[in-house]
Amino acid sequence: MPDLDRRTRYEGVVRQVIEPVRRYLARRTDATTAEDVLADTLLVCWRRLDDVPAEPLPWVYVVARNCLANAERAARRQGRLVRKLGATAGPSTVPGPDSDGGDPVLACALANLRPADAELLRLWAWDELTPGELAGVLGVSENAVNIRLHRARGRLRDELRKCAELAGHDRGERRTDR
Amino acid sequence: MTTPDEDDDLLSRLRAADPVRDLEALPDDRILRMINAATASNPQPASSPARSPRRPLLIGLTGATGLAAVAFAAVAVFSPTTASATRLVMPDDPGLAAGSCPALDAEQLKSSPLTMAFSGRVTAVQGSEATLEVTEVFTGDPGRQVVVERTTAESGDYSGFDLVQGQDYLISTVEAGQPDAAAEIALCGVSGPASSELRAIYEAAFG
Repeated sequence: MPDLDRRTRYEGVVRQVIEPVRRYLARRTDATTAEDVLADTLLVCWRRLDDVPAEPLPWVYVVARNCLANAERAARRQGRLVRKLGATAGPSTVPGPDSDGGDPVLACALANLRPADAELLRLWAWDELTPGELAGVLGVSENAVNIRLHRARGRLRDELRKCAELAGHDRGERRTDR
Repeated sequence: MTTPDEDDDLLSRLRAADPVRDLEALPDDRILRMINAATASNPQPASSPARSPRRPLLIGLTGATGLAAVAFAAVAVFSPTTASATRLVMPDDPGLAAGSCPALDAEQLKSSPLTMAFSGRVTAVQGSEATLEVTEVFTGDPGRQVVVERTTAESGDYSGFDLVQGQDYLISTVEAGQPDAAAEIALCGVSGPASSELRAIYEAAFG
């Protein structure tokens, strides 16, 4: 592909994916790491442009997920090194975003779910991926996505009930203590 | 049985808790700068790893024919740039826990963004590193020898695997993300001990 065509195609891919991928990263790590990982992801897209499919979003999500895992591993290694040197540095893992959005019962319920269920629900609700796109990101069939989503939503409802009861119980105890 | 309304309520509640719901879109000049940075930093993009015919190493052949064949294979498979070992890392956070990994098939393997796929035998395990001699290349260029940095699983539900001396493995890798970082082993059943089932999938995908 001539350089100009390559650049034009790349620009089209970037404009299609940059906002959803940027939001995906911003939801899962701190702002600085998100920015670095977005740049890494775009670089991979440029280097692997011939492999980017016609519907690029699921493919680019997988690349972004790999780049983010890589950055978090590097941060953990750095934390381990700092501890070995006996220094008193900050946390060894990348701090996550505050994700309860003022709904502590929902935050409690998501935290109690299996990580794979919670991530599936986040991809569905926050990243607004269609079942077809979810299938591409997770490497499963669309039918399997629909079944998993149905089950994950059911488990979330169960956990919401439990967390709401717990929150009510805590409030009741605080009133009794007064 | 839940109703669509109940699903809508759940969706609304989740979306209200989206931590970046107020994030503004990047201005166009910023997007252009990022595009320019990516294209300028690597003016000659890497072509995708060749889906070339499999390249077995002719181990076990004897005599002049065998030696000639081995010499040919060595020239064909190992370029001078791969004289030193390729470094890979075993992720400790593959994104999906073992129980969530989808069943692997050839079509999925073929369409995954993999950079290398090969088989190899573990010849040494020392500390956190395992050395493998590459025995067959399905795609990409792992070189003759691969060193894997092993990590300790932080979760009991981990989709990684141990590398045991003398055992054979089928391994695929994904792009590391950062240009100088070691490539990452693809987990979730994509890489693992060289069972006949996994080999059949590799052969169907790359054969």
